[in-house]
Amino acid sequence: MGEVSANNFFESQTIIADHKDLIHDVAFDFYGERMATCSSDQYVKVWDADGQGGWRLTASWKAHHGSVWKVTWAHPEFGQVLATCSFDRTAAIWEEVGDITASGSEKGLRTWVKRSNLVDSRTSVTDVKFGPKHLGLLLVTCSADGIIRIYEAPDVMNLAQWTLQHEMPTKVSISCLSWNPSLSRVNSNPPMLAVGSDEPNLANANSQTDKNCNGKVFIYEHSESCRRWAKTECLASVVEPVNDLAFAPNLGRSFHLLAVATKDVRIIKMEPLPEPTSNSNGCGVRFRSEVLAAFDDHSSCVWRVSWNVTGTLLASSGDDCCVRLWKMQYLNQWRCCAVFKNESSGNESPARTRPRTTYTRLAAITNPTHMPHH
Amino acid sequence: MLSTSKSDIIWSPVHHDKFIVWGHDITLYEVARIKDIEKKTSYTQISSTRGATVVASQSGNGVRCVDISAISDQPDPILALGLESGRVTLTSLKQAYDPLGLIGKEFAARYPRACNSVAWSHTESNLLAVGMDKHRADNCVLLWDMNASDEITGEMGAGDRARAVAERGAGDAVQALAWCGFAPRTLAVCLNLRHVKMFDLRESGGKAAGVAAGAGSTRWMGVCAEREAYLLAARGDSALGVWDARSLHSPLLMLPQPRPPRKVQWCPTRRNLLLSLRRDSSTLRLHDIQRANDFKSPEAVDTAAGSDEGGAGEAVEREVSPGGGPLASFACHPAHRARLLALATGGALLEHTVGERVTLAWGAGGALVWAAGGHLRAPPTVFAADRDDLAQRTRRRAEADYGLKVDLWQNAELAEDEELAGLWHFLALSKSLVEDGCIRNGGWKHPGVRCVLPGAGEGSYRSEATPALLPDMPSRKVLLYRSPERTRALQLLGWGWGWENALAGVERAEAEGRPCRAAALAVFHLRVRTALDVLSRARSPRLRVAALALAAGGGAPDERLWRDSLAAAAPALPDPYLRALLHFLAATVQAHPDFSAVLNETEMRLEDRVAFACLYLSDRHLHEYVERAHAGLSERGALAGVVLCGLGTDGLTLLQRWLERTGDVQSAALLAARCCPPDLVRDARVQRWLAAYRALLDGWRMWWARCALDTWLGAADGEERTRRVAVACTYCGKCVAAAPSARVRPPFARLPPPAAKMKVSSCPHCRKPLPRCGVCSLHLGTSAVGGAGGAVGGAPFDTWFSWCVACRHGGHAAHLLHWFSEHAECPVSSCSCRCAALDPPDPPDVRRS
Repeated sequence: MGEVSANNFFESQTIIADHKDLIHDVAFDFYGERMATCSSDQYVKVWDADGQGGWRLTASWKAHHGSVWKVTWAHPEFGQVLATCSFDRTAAIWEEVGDITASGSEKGLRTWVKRSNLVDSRTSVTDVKFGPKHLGLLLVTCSADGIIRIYEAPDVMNLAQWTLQHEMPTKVSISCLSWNPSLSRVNSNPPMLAVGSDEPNLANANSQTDKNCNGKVFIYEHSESCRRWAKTECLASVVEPVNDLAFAPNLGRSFHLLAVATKDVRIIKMEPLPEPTSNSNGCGVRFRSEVLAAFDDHSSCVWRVSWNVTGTLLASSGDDCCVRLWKMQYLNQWRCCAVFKNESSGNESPARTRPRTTYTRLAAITNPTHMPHH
Repeated sequence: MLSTSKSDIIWSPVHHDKFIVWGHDITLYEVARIKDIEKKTSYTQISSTRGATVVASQSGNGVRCVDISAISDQPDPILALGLESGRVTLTSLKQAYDPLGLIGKEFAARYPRACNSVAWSHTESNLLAVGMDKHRADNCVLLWDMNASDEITGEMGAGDRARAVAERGAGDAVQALAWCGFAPRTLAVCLNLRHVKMFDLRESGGKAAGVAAGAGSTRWMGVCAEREAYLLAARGDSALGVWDARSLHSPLLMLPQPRPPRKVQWCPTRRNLLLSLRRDSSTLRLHDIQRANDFKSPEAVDTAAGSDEGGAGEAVEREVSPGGGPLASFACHPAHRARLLALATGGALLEHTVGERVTLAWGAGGALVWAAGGHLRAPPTVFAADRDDLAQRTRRRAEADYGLKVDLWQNAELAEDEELAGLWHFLALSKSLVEDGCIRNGGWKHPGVRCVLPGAGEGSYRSEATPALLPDMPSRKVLLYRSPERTRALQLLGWGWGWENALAGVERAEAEGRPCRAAALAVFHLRVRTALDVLSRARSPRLRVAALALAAGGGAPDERLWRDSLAAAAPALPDPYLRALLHFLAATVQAHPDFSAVLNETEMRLEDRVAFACLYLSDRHLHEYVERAHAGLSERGALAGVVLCGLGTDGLTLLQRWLERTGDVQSAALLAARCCPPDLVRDARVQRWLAAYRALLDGWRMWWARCALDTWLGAADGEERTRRVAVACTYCGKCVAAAPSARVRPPFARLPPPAAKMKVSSCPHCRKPLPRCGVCSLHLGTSAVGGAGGAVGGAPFDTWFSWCVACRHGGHAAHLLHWFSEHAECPVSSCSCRCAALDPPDPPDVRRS
């Protein structure tokens, strides 16, 4: 299954991003014509497509006082809006405005203004995502101490005001989240979030967690009747720390596809079961989940997963410094269709001694009382 | 303490392909690609592609510490060896040309004692710092200058002791020292196992420039400093400490270690990355130091010293195993990103590339980008072009107006998929049949075979069976069934009733280059002669051979023999139609023919199989066959099943299954929009398809395709294509451009020529004035005749209303365009809205249109 013939090894093109440190996230806007990158050098950069396949840097600014973990675009209906989250325990909302000193040739320059700073988290904010547009201007953040927060801008014209709508504590550290992109609210399709935990599996802590679900991926759904979010599912098939997850665009399918980056690339199909009539408070099993594929080609650790616009191609990156594309052949069948080596050909390939990275985790903060106040 | 475990590996800071390993011996290696190494030379393989050859070696006896100088222009690395005796000697392992005359030079402290650490400065490569053990009140940090000492030796004569340029740390013992990266002549030093201090050698006086606080009870064994940055790290017997050199008063991080770290090193190619190796460990630990605050300048921090901003640090830790068991040491390559060399306790050398966390994203346009370190990478453009992915195909089809063509069959040509093309053709056919009145539809635009052939229970029909002779084979007879229902079904399936229609089908099939199908159609209509003609005209010689079998079938003396040999030969035939044809002829020999062999040729098109069944199966069998075929197809989600069930409720179920199998929401949405009756369009599934497809088109900015889709939907819904967007009067709230059919028309009818350009400068309902243009201050007028007729007869673009959704000022489109080409702010005075900047900059490819 993981056999890769020589002709689908591809060389890649390089765009000099000039970030001083590791780039943590790349995000495209709704049209795929603008791109935002964020890095450990605390900068966020915005790139515009030049129409010939290249990218032009149009803005670059220092966004946070710590590594910027994630960046995400709002739907263009709300304007040109970005959200970032950082190790400095904040998430920020940015809006693009024309340059203040616009005159003559410099008119093309754009500046980004910080509209709001969300400071509720006590620890590093690990992920931030705007909600699907039909829910309004929603933002969800998650932090290393395991609290998921959902913010809403009641007035979409006023990006300075965000109200904290929901706060969902989990017991474990949360590393990533993904909105279900289902477009409509029909068919008992409530707003849904998947969150992944990177809590390491400690051997001695097993007995404690056994009672609870040992899974690392949780599904939260908003219940219209209770007006709150509730954990409705814990995917028991994923028990290793999760680095990233992503719902596939729902192209009229009756089920959801969730890609999970954990020890392997996992594609999980979640089929909603008919509403359990006896159990009205949603405690019953809501989904039948099935692991469609699990590929361990990325040696031992997968970092990121991303779907293409139709949900028929999945890209993943992992510890082997390669980017792999997985293609849907028929239902339930996925196959690797391309491998991009990350290093240019001048540099050599990594040794085939099965290098492995056992786990990633955040070390304890040395002195919590010394954290700066916002 | 040091003797056995002391082995280390050091990359030369200037020679990127050379490193030394020292233990009992000091060995200089040179790295090269394995294929570049000469055959006879022996080498140590360090990775799959590279090997290291031994250049030179010497005994490491009495050596306590080693460092490689950063002096450039040297053919081979110059080593400083700190000896047990307190001397420091310079050596090059290989005898070579020595322009600077450094090799063999010796530096010695005033009082002999063990030399614990040597470090060459990387910024001023002539400086060498030496850390010594304690000797009474003598200084333990000595700085030697290669250039200066030259002159001194000249004055004093050879053999005399050269003097150190600077000395620090009276009465202390140095365990380790390292040059700081942020300033010249600054050292970080581990003193007396207890302190980590910084010395600025530019200052006079023996005081330390800074003492790292929080060192606590740990015994500090080693220190290292980040290159060109402010971070310091020290290893102790129970912890790893990280400080920022600008705020030494509290440690940035104190990482407790269960076992003492053996070596720490800052990654020379990436900031904030510390590598450490624990004793007896087979893995390296990578500490990615995260800080929540940033220093603007050192001065600002000095004044803010004592505030609580120092301690917020965190490390994202990873473990990396280069493989090969417990490690003795490691060294990061000085220039190549993420490359490091590890030395196993057994002596093996292992090169390893640390995989950085690669992030990636996929844009709506199909662009894939991933980040490798500080750079972004994208697949080559050729790659995106030849990728036959659904997203690419969907986009290509949308650009070609797939699904939006007026005639349904036109869409078939754009479908790029045989199954889909067949479906569009069928829909075109069924539409024309319904419009001609051949088929009474039950409210459906596109009925299927099951709709025209009612089941056994409800409104059952009875077909009459007529025996028919094969004209060219007079000895045989078959039963043909006929009824009006079957005729309609045959029309739906494209066969038509009677030989005239069938002949047209045969000719069409032959013209399409499918002689086998043409022949089979002819034979199924009992015209063996026609079939023979078709086959004999075929280009492929194999088919002409098949014709032979066909001709033989007519006059074979022993029919049983012929049939048996046919049964044996049929599977070898390449074409399903040929097989079906021969099976059919074989079956006609029997009195009660069994056509299952023909019907089971599933490679034949479904239409042909079902049409065959309509001719030759009795009512009950036909019904069973159709139901079975439909159940199978709908289970598999095969599009051909629509032929049987039509585009109705069952058809939607089938489409949903097909969609889940292929993901082609575009075709599903378009088929439903074009071919479903209005009540089915309101089905939740169809709405979901439409919403998904609209979102796709939105993401690609294909507004025309999206608009055309909505227009078709509106047409299907039976409602008039009315204007959906209107400008309302601020005062009365009614549409400014009222429909001409309303009461607006008569008042204007009295006015002079209606064809003249007519401007309405006030609301036709309440007579209040319309707003003024912000640029020319004239009333915004609307064309009086621009009623519901649509865009064609509307006003020219230049006079269109246009307004900013934020400040609600507006004007004539042409005026505003002109204004914003020179200004950033709204034309209305005292309004500072940056209307034009609210939208993203136009992408260049859009601007050209």
